[in-house]
Amino acid sequence: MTPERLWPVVLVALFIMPIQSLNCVLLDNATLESVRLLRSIIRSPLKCLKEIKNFEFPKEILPYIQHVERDMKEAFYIVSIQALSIFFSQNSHVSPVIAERLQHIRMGLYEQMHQAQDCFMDEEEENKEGDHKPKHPRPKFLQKVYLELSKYFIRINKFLGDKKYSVCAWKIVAAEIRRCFIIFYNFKKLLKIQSGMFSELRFLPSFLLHLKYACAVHDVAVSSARLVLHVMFVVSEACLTLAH
Amino acid sequence: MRCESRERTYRLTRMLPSHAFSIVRLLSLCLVVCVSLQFTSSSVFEDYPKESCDVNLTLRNFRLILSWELKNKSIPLTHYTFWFTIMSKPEDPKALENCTNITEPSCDVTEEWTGPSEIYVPLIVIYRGNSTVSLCEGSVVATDTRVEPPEFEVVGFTDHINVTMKFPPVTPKIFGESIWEMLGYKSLVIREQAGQSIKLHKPTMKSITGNFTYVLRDLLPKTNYCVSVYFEAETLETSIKSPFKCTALQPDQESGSSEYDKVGIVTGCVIAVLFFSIVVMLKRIGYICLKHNFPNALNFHNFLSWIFPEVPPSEGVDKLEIIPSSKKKKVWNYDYGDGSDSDEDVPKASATGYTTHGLMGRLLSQASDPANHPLESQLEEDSAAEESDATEPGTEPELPTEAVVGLGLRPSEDPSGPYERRESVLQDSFPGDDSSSVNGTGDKVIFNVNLNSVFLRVLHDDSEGGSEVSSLAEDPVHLDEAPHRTESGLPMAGEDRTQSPHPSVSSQGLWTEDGSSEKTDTSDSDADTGDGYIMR
Repeated sequence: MTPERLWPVVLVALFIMPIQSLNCVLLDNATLESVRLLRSIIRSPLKCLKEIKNFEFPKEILPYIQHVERDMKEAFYIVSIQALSIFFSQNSHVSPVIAERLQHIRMGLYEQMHQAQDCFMDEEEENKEGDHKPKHPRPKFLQKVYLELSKYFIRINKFLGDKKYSVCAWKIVAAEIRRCFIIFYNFKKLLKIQSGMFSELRFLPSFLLHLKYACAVHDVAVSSARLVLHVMFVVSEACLTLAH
Repeated sequence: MRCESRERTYRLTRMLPSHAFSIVRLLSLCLVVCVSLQFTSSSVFEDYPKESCDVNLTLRNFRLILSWELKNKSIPLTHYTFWFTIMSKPEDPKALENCTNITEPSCDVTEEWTGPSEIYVPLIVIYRGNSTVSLCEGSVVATDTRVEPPEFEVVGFTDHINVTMKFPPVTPKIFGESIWEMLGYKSLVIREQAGQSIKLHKPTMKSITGNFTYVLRDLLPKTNYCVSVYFEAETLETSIKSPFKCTALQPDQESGSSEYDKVGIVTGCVIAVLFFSIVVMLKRIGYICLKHNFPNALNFHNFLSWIFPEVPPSEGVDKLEIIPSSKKKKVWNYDYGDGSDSDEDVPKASATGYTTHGLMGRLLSQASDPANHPLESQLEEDSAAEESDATEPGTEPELPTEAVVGLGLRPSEDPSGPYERRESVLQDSFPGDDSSSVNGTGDKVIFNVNLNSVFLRVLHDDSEGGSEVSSLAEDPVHLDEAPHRTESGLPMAGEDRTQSPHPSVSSQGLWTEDGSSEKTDTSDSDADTGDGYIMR
């Protein structure tokens, strides 16, 4: 293989890991954006104080998912999907102002869901490449984790329906989902601090951050870039095979 | 019996519920009253008129401070009461003891607000002077916190600035987390600005306690630098930047000149001390600032006298008759009063016994008939004899002359005659001699007399005319040791025995020869003359 054709391979090999880590960095940014959007709908909750309900967030599942990074990413991916599904409920009983803010929240949650998926899928691919062991059945504690999370969001959905999707109900639900995101974000940050990963992500090259903003405009563009990289990797392997 | 017991039981059972109900009612009433003292239903606050306000959560000096600002400030305020609740679970609003009936629009909630994911609902009851009550409400989350910069001091030097920031001794917990965790481990930013030039410094800080000093280096002297400090946090709102603190760096010259000034002052003081110490030392050793008690030899004031030395005081001088001696040695005779003459002992005067080396000329103290003061001396030194032998061995002296002691002699036209005495300026040291003033002749002749070759005879005024002829026989050693006199009047060692045609005689050491004799017998004498210069 000539040195000229080796150049793309070098680029792919050099940046493939940062690109994979970039998805999780983008997930953090998307999460913070969702938190900000949910905060915007909660301005004057005085009249809604008497309708506040304790949705009993399952904090007991956190110790189960802190040891394996994959489990953490998967759990947050599930949370993002559930939250998005809640805000895609009907909202005809709200004012246009509230409706517009709910629309912004949906967009933010949609972005967050995609980033969580990418971050989780990258983790899955790493596990597939590095570990050729046969798949084992998922541990029971993980099933319990996912079950508790599902119950949690069902309670939220039920509350919203019982309150007939009122403004106060939306405010209370928005406050609760925001709290859920903050808990996961702080918990993941704490794990990164403990594992030293947080410091690595802090020093991400600036041009990769620019790449983040360029690719985040369109989901298709991001997927296409990843597809191109995969193609280049395959081509380089083919060239090496032909050369030998 | 059974009926009665049943009726009693029935009556009792009916009485118990009524009492219980009353008790329960009483207890519930008390409970409500007690709880109402601590908590208030949120519905109560719904009855208050709402007032628009801005609620801010600030981290000030590492304390969570909730502050509010009313938009309607027309009506004067009396006090506030701060309540709050949360949205994660249904709780009645709670009032803080430190923030009840307060006048300041702020409240420290560091100890109460500890949930980082919680949404807090502050309820501020506003009491105005006209007994109106209004309500200011809002919602606050941890990410709404605006971190104020720490207090700092700026000290400028020549080329660097020390920025000292004050942190608490113990890292506080904010929303249950350390300040650094809450800030996302973002660093403190120090903004350095000089004109249009801006530079940001981000010192790494993870857990700083106490004062922290950061040095801004590589700065330009004589330049005004302004420094601002703020926290840069990722999850928080826009950071609050501190007001600029400016300092002008000192220039190198000024700092150097101040140092040079100090060095110069110290050097000047040292030099002055050394100078004065040297002056004092020189004064003490007498090198400078001498007193006016110079010895005469160092007295330069009378410069004329230095150039023209004064005539020594007159001394007692006598006219002497110098008689060149013969080979015959004479015995020194100190008997001046004896007027007997001994012709035999009278040596012949020899002109060869005179030399110009000698005494300073002095004037006679007494002007007297030289004929009356003859003095014959006889020298017994061998050198005189040698000189006489060298000049004219065996010849008779041709010029019996008289010499005046201590005076500049002027040889008379008649060499055979005695020299005239002249007045001496100096005081006469001999007893009986008179001192006189300077005659002022001006003519002085200085000559030495080789007493070895001459005899001297003092010419006195006495009728006896006795002359004393002294010789050096009795004290030849003295003559030998006698220093020769030079023209300056100082005696010389007996080295110069050269003879000159002008003999010089001192007043001392006049020798007589076996008593005095008026005769100026120039016959040769066999007396020893010795070396023969008359010694003063």
